[in-house]
Amino acid sequence: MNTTIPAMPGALPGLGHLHRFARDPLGFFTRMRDHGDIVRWRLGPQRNVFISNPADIAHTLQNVEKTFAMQGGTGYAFGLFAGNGIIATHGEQWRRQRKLMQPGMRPQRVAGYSATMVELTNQMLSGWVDGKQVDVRTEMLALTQKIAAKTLFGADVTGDATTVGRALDVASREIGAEFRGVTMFLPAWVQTRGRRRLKSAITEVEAVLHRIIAERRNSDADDRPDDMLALLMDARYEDGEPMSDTQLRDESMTLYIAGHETTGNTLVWAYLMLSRHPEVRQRMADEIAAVVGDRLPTMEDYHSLKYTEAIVKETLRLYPAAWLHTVRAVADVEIAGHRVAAGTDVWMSQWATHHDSRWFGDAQIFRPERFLGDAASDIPSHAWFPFGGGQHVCLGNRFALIEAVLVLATVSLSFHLDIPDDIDFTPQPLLTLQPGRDVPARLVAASAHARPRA
Amino acid sequence: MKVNVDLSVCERYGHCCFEASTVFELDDDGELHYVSEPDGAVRLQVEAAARSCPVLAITVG
Repeated sequence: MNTTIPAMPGALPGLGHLHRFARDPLGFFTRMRDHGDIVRWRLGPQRNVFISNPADIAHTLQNVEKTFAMQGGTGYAFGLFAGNGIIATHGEQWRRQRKLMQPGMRPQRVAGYSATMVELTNQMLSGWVDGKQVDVRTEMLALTQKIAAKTLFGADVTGDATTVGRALDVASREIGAEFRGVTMFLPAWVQTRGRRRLKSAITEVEAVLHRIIAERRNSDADDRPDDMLALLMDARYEDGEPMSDTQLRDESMTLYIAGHETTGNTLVWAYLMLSRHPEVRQRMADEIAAVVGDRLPTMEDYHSLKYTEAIVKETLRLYPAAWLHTVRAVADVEIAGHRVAAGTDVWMSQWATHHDSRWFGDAQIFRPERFLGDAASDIPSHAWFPFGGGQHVCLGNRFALIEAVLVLATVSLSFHLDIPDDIDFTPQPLLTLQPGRDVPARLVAASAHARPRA
Repeated sequence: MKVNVDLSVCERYGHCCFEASTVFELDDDGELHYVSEPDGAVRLQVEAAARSCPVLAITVG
């Protein structure tokens, strides 16, 4: 076993590669990828390795809970949002929470959520008019937010969508800024202006969650929906104790934000791609018209909308909402033939691996066909890992795919979106990967005979 | 085609049920049921199911 891991050039004393990472995280990951399958680098005092080969990513993710632990590498800001929620924990605590929440994402449950996804999309369309200009980000994030609140918490957040949307914009930006700068190494008691903005944004979201939880507590026991919030609130641990209020806050915050910000931005990227690839958009519209016809889409339709699903998967390849994944070695381990010492953080980037021409021919080109039939089986395991992998794989991965497909299908029957070709939508690596600006679109109504009957 | 799920490893994530819904099913009590000798026509789906398993409990022969 070779013990010398190639070092990434360009480190400065004390800082390590912080300045390079902070300036352009996506570009820096790409350069590390091109330097080798495993590369040594430093972020201040923290020793890291970066890995990009799918075989090593698969092996690493499959050993989380064994030789690796989840690592909140994004520090204070991420912790403020996720707390000790399922996304940020490992070991016994994580196992207990995962076991509790997993039933909420079982196939029958998710099938039950699908009707709400379609209904709320159709509600959004009732405000859309041929020729009208909309901001796709605002529309999609409001929609996915309502879907998450309704399906997971049985709550109507129509009145809160704008407030929460604005708060999340601030939070996402501040979390992004935090782990791109030196503030990431500041202890929690140092309150920078950014941290204060982040805190007040999170407080606004918390207020909505507290209201939803209070409404549920005050509701008639017989009227309570059998949803994710019920799983959390009715949970009793082996010692008979319910979940603490802090834990309930952490889990509901995680579900609310991770459950909509990701899919919302994925839909924005999908509409950008569809507008730039009219032939793909036409093939999608044809598939949807053939499968769904003149009614509203259902869960059964989802299983037949293979091309539409391939569009979502290809969008997640080129613009992965989660663009960074970090775990910490808790024992000395071997990766790619090298010894990695306990305490080292192992970084992976969906962005770097998804754009690697070794696994995806014409990697920069939007081509949904690569996710269809035999072609899909040729993609190496974990060359595409938008939802992570191993035991900590995203709890809502199927929820997200189904939601994105059903939103695209429901909208497609009534409208398509034209987005100007000459606007620069350079992806911004914030809490999620997103276009760093508004996304103006002109709504174009589908021909009247193709409209679904509600 | 032969399918085997190591039920001592399976954590009931249910990913296989989405990938190959005619072969794998999680019932209301969270128990996994599966067809151990499915038709060869669903091979791609079953292989996708095996790959998608977070704890690698599925083997396909």
